[in-house]
Amino acid sequence: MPSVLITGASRGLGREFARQYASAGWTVHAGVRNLRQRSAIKELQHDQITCHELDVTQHDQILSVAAELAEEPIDLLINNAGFWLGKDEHYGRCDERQWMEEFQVHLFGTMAMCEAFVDQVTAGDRKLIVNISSGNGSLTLESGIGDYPYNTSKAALNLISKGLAADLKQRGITVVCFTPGFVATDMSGPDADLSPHESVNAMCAIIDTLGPEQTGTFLRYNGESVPW
Amino acid sequence: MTNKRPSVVITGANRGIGLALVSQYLADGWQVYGGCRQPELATQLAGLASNSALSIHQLDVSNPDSIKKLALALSEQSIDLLINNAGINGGERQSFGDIDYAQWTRVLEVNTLGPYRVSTALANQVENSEQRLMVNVSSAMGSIEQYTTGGHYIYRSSKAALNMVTVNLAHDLRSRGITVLSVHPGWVRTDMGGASADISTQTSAAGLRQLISNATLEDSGRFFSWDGSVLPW
Repeated sequence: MPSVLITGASRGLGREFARQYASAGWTVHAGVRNLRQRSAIKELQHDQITCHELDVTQHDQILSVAAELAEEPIDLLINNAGFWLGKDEHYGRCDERQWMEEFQVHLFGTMAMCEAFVDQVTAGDRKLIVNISSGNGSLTLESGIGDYPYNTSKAALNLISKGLAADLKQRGITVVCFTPGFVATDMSGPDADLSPHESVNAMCAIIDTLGPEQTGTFLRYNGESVPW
Repeated sequence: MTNKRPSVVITGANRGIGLALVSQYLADGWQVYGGCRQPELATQLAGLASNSALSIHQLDVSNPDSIKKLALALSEQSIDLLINNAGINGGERQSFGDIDYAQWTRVLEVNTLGPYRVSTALANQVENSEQRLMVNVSSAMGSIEQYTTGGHYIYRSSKAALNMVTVNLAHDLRSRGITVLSVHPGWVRTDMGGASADISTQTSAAGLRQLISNATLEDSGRFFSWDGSVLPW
């Protein structure tokens, strides 16, 4: 069966990805920040799921998981770990330390994961990297206007995804960014349009169809193209 | 109408495009406030200071305290135009498999957060001026649409993120009548662009001044090349 490695898997979309791929029989490697936090891990108990302590801002942790999985092909890498600070992201109120933390998680974390796992993804049959971005990262400002740290870090994530698509093409790897829609998670709250199940279910159906022709694109959860 | 001369703040004023902008705005009769990290080393900028319309300020856009000092020094001035020009390239290690993450942090501090900090610190002075313009010197290298090669991740991502700062500032400052643009200065013969680039700093600065003088609130939040054409995100 194919295998998937998911960052930020202890809650929200990450947890939902882990569950759905496990139910489909995939081998799932779930990266979670704190393995001792039992409430988070409990939800990931499944024969197909292995949890790894993986904080994407800790590059030594990334390297140690990559070493642990050195011989294991990864069909699909999902860079999902992310966060948002809410109103403290607005004009004149941005906390600069937290702004840099968003860059560390969304941007550096994604790049460091790709650098560390590129050989395993190359060894996989599917050769897919999916970066969970956001409509808030679109420079057309279709949503989320005014959240400087979140919007800038997601726009930067979109840029590096386009570059990774070019750099990893020779290896046969497809790199795609998704906006998951406005999903009811801890991050966005209960007033959202979609449940995590609906959003992830739709993205998994699209991921199933992805190949080299889609590399370097920015897609809505339902597969529609999103402007940069 | 008063016949007060218009005023411009230019960051990174000691060399390259910043220095060319300083000389041209001075020649055009503007009051120029030039910011640079080490004024004592900025000999070319100091050479222009025989013109009493130039005032030189120590400014490190990665240091919030330094920006506060500038805002305080200019608290009674109106500023028609702020040009966030200060920027750094990020060095050699920007390729896949060899990324210098400490440099990446530094480049985002200067190229992305720097313009946000200076813009928010000087927004009142810009609002109190006649022209009410802010210009972020970005780069076509920050265009995601035009990025098809890979590599140069640090510099490119900092400029895509700067473009996102531009569109957000344009939105947030529209009600105060402030126009905010991202501009691509061209491939310019500077320390950063190298000797074989397309155009001189003077040609770039002249093009930028022209497009800035034509800009209206309608243009706010857009991305222009130095020749006035619109660039894709």
